[in-house]
Amino acid sequence: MKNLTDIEIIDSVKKGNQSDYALLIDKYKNKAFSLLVRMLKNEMESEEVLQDCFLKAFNSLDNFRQESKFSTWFYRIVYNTALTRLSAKKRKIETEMSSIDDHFELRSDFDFREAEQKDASKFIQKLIELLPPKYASVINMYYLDNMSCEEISNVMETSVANIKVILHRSRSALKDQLIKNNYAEELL
Amino acid sequence: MIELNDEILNRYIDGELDQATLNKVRELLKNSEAGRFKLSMLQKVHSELGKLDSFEVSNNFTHVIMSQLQKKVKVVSKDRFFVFSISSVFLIIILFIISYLFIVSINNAGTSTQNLEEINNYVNVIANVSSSIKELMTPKNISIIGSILSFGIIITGYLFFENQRQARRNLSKLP
Repeated sequence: MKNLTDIEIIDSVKKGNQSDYALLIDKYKNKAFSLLVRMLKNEMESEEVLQDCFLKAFNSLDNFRQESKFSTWFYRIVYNTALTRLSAKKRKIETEMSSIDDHFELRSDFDFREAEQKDASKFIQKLIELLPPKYASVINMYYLDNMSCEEISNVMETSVANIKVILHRSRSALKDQLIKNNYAEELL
Repeated sequence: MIELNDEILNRYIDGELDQATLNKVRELLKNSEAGRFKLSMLQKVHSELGKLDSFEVSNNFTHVIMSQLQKKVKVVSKDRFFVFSISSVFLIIILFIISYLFIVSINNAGTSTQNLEEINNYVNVIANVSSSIKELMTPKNISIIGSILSFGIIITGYLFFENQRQARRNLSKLP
């Protein structure tokens, strides 16, 4: 496998070596897929959307000005495509998109039999599935992709302060659910 | 007055507090069991989120996209070839007409008086046509012609848009 930077790969693709685009796909497919699964809550649909995103990115490579990282630019495509898909499916996302000040209540419809296993990690993973797409995407980018709040704000085209609020609210919501479901003793 | 709420504790975890606030929070935490409990829970959530599971795409994912791209590139190059061939044919025809007219004008170069008469005739024809057009261009006729033209443009635009959409749909159906 060639050891090239994103910019070198893009330059090579632009020069006509289209097969080098596979390097970019291999590098970002699983990260972007995780983001999509957390937003769309469906693996098959996420894979389909991801294919669409890679094709879109390929067609728009000439528009990539290298002002930001390729990952940020590509994640913006993924995030916006996921939002479009969500609104196309007429899920009630408008309320989430309108303002960060809107509150969400993390209702745990987690199967109680699973909860009895007293596995806090699994419980948290399950709770993340219940987070609204915007919150789940911030959690995914921050913790899984190790992106900074600045980078996430560029992807989501919002302020850094909003990203921090989303991050903090998500943590607090998860903490409240852990306490509510008696996981405190296990964790402490 | 600082309160040990979720917001301040989250900022404490992220290291976003200034030194003065940080000292106050530490002081408050020493004396508040509830505060320490809240902080520990948030820290646990923070550390558990750090172990977040990653999802993996199917094995042939890259191959599928690359084959789609290759097919698309082939279609684009075919389209380019088609446009190029059509334009070339038109260009050749135009060049042929120009060279024919050039040859004819060279052959008739001696009969200049005859040429002038012919030109006069053409000018007269053009003047007649333009005067009849002028007569036709009453406000009523202009509005009728305008409506017909607008209708034609709308229909053409719709057909063009439909054609583009169909082409895009066909492209997206490519395996």
